[in-house]
Amino acid sequence: MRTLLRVRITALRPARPRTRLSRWGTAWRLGLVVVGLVALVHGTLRDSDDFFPFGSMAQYASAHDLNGTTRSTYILADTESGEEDVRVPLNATGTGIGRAEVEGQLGDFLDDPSLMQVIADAYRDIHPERDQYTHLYLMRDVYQLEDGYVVGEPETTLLAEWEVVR
Amino acid sequence: MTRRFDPEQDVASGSEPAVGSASEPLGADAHGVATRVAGGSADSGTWRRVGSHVRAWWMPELPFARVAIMRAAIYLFLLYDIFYLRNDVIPHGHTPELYEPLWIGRALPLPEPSVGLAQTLQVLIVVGSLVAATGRLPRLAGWTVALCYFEWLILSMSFGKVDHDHLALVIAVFVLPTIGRARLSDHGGSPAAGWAFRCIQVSVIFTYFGSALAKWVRNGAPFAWANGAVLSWAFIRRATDLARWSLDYPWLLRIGQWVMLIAEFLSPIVLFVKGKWLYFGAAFFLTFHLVTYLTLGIHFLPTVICWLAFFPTEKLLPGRFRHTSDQQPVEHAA
Repeated sequence: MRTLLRVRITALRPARPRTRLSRWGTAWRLGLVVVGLVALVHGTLRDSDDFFPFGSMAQYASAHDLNGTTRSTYILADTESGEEDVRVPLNATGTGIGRAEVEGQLGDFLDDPSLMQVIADAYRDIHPERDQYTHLYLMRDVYQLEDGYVVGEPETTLLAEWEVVR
Repeated sequence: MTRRFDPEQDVASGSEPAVGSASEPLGADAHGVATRVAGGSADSGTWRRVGSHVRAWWMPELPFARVAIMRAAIYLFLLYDIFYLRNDVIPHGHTPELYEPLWIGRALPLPEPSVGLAQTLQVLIVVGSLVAATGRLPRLAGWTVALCYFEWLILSMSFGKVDHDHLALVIAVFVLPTIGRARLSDHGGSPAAGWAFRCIQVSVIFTYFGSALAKWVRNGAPFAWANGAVLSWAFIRRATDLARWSLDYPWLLRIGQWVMLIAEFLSPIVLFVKGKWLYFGAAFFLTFHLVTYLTLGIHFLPTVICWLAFFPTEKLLPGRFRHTSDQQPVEHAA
């Protein structure tokens, strides 16, 4: 009885989702699997994340020398109110540009320090109420490793600077 | 979170054999006999069987209720993602000079970044996700969200840095619309759902396995990476207070690197195990993400949410929704 009732309810359902795949439905799905896997292997072997989302999963993939150096790049600024060497927030909510993005385009910044103007302008657009930058300093700290241990204080270098234009 | 699941019943176990075995033996046998009679060397029956297993693995029949839950989780997570994780797209609109389009952005005529474009995408993603999360207009809302969210990510990652935590989520937003209608109250399941979930699962696992391959490719040998100083490098740059002490113990960091690399190479096993081994694998990688979050502030939440694709989440539904398994035979009878 209960079974009968259920059958009837099932039969009366107005719209039922499809429960089977056509030959074509199976074929394009398997085809896409092959294309996707090839794309992933391709991105990996090319060692490039240019092919997002099928790029190489190369985050943190470089082995760093236990006796090498570790670099960290950042930007300092002088401000309109006279403060000096303020750390510029290189992240989504601060300037819209992340530290890793600055490092990713570091060559461009070194070739043409006027690109830093873009960062000052973005900061002004996003936070018009804050103390604005008058001068930007692209800095790099270099830490020396010995057998994996950090030795001594970091060596700080000024890579480029830019007088902000209003 | 996963403890309440029944470990005996998992993603793959439900109806996978049925798909393969139901259609395969007859055709395979008939074909096998034919080739043997003809004295052919290549056994096409074997190929058919392999093909049928491949198909069964990629397209197990999964319940619609699970799809409905996954959609709600993924589409609501997208909102969190665009407002709190990849929230640099509108700010990026202020710095179009720094836009360096990825390959896809150079191959296709995608629009240049601007604040207006970013805000438009944001509205479309919010509205589309809220609709799609309820299971309504799964294709229209789903495809709209997929395209807009993809463009959102391109605008986010075309400024000199690409993150690798979004592979599975991107795949999820593109495969979920292909399932079509699937509500919590829908009986039964479909291989289309199975295919979409497999794609998400494989993408989750490739996030780990691919990173092991990338370390191999970049460093010239499969395990060279593990003996380096990558964790020291990462901790110097961005360690939380919880992790700074470990810089004084580089040998400990090297052990961590070995554990991570070996686990990444072994990660595909997760795709083929069931029950407690599946839960163990999931627990291991989810713990890994928790640790990298606590020590480096790297959360990988977009990958974490996609781990849901491995579990029979519909079993968590209150009783009145739990009809899928006992109703299926009735449908056959009808």
